[in-house]
Amino acid sequence: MRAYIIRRLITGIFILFILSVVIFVLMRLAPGDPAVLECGLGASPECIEAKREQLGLNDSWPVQYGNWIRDVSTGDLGVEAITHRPVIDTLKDRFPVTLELLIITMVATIAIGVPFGIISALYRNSPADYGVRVTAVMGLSVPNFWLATLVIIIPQELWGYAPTFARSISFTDDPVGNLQQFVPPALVLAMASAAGIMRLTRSSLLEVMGTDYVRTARSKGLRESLVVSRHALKNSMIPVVTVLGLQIAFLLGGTVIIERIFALPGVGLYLFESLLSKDFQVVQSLTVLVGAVVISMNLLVDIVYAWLDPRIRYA
Amino acid sequence: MAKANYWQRLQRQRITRRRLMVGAGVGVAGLAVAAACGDGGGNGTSPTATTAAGATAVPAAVPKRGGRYKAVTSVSFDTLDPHISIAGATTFFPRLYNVLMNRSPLNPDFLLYDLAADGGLETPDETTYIFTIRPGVKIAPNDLGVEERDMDAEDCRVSMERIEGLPEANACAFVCEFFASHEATEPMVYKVETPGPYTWFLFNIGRFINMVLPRELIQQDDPALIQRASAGAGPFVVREGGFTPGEKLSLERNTNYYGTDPNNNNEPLPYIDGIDSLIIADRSTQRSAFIDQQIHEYGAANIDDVNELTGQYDVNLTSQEPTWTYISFSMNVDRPPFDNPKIRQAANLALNRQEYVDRVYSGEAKINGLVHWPVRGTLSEAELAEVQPFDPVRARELIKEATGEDTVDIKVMFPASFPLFEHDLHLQIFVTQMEEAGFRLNQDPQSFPVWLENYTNKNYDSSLAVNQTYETAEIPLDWQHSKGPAGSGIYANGLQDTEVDAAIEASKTVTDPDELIEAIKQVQLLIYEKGPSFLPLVTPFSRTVRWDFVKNYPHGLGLNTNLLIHDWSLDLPA
Repeated sequence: MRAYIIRRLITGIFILFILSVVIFVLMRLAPGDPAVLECGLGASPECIEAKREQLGLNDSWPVQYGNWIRDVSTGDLGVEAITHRPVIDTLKDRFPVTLELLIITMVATIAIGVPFGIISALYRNSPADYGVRVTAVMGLSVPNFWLATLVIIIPQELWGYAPTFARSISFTDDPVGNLQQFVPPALVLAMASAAGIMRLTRSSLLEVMGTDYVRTARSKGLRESLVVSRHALKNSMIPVVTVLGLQIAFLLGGTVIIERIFALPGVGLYLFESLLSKDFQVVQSLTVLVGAVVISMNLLVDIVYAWLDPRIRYA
Repeated sequence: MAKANYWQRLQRQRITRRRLMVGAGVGVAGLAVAAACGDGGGNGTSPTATTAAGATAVPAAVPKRGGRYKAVTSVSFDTLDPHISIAGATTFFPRLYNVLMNRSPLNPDFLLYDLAADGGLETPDETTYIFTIRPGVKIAPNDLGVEERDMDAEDCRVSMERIEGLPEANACAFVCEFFASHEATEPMVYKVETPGPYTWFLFNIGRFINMVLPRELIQQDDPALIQRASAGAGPFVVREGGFTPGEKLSLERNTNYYGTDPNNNNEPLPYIDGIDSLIIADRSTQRSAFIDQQIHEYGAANIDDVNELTGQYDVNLTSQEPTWTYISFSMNVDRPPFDNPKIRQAANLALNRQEYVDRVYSGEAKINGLVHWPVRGTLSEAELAEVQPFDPVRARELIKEATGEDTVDIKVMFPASFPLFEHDLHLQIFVTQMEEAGFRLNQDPQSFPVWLENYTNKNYDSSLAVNQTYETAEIPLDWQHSKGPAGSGIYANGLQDTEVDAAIEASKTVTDPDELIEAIKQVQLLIYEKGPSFLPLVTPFSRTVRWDFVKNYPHGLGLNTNLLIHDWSLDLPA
């Protein structure tokens, strides 16, 4: 198992390196001069040149890349182009917001997707199954930015209720207020992924339920609930766990829109604003950081996968 | 140079305003009043009441003290340094620091004395401005280690010197070009000499990019301090922790503020305890937050939105101003075919501005001339119909005369990812109109950063451009000047015409208000004759609604001036 984890770690570091090179090159190939944006409308050529020098944009690409990687590896993610605030300080403020949003989203995804997927599989072709499947298709079809807008507008119109916007309420200070703020966007974000998990759980469980060992368990006289919970469920969860891990990358992308609509000051909104202002340091560092999170999650999934299915770790 | 006591003027105007409010009654004021106020700045009327259709009238009452105003911005904050900020924090600077004085661009008779004492301006000749500093303008209690002392002339000198030496300062071009010399001749006397007569001096010196900061703040060892908190003598102060870039800004009442309310026994201003500003980019989210009273102001989408809100809630339309962005068509005269005046004239005739008003804004906008409609000196509707008629047939004739062909190919770049949804609607109409007039368009959509870089460097044949609305005729005319709108040759080269350049420069030296308006009109007529290179299309209305408990919120004098008035208050429900 240790050799397996080491192998996956090395692969992860290599992928991260490739990602850093790609994002570094893409940011420089894309037209647009961050110095112009930083100096603002009406800026003089002197200001623009001074900014280019200050940002190191006049250095060669290898030098720029080397400086950046050196800084990042020592925990220095650079400073924001416009505010000159260290990126790490902003991340400290914003990461907890996105982390909480993702945790609630993942919990909601599992809590909705897995049980309803099981129900759908166990009661195949029943009204319950059709209901779950139709709901799943709707969840996959509805764009989350539209749903998010409705989630804000409809409670406002019907009950005069709105979640707290544009400032994060700490869970320790006000647990109820915190959940009121985070649950609606998390549910919107979870909608599509829960629908996907629901469908995957259903098909996976149906496949397992048709296998020989499940038939054997039934023939032993086990109750159906035991057959499902002890024999079928664990194996049917193998592809589900894999997809759940991959959902992290999908959900991180989704936070960009959801955080903007719900005015949550998180990492997604930070990345969006930085992209608009072409802030090299922030975009590069955040992309690598997000890449690291996704790779770590994939590693975790691989480990769980190996634990669930011994054939993997011995392969 | 006119002299006036700001507080006396304010008193006069506020009395008028409150009387009007008393007499208005519920829902009586109506849309007509709102519309009149929207135009008010342009025709030189004083800042009077604005209540919208269905709104609850705001009765006159003794202003209450206390409460925190909840503001909103859709643009992220960047820095608290007023000299270099280019983002959402800019509108808060007049709350934190002081300008010497301000002349309202929409009502030039309205002079607002701030750091300069009431009547504290002498102009012995047309190039000399001597400001006597108001005694007792005391710096707020602050966390930046700046002593709570009175501001003086040396603070003015050091602040302007900083702007002059800071290339990224927003007002660098103004100070560099129009300050021949400046000095603190006495502890409380600050003197500026301009290279020549300059009619826009008092408008510019009063803009929030020319804030006067305590000199210790500028001369300190750690320049980053100025970016994260404030230590000025304005009505509010930002304490440490009150500002998080991109997230929040909280202002606290400056207990040292010099201002008092002459209408209320000279009670110390400001009345409110503080301002908390949130960043909410999405309009529907802003609306929900407004209805939920998480914010006290909301920029309505249109007049229907205003009517719906005022009909359902105790909210008022408190300002109806020209919006801060508009779309224009910019042509680069260095490149063919726009080096040919006939092609530029053809473009001018190809555009049916009324169609933008009707289709993009449902009639809730006005056609711009070269100096667009909110500004004094704009051409009348009849004059505009003469100089920029919609005449595609004549446009085709001009193209034929210029090229010998029936059509002409042009390349038009535009920002394709700008978060201004009206832009896409402009584009559709623009393409159709231009093609009907004989222009064959090669469209060049670009991401906003790319477009901005190309636009800044004049790397375009022509461009549909997002512009800010200006409050005076100065910059709109400078778009046609060889040095461009920023004076440094960026964005545009104007017409590259010495006669036009001379006429624009001459208009800046006219100090008589009536003569100035005439001069601005004459310059525009000359430019139309030569084929304008920059065509502002239309400017829509921007409407801000506020809850009924927000009392006496200033408006109608222009953004800079409005923000320098601090006698508004909150009558929050118990």
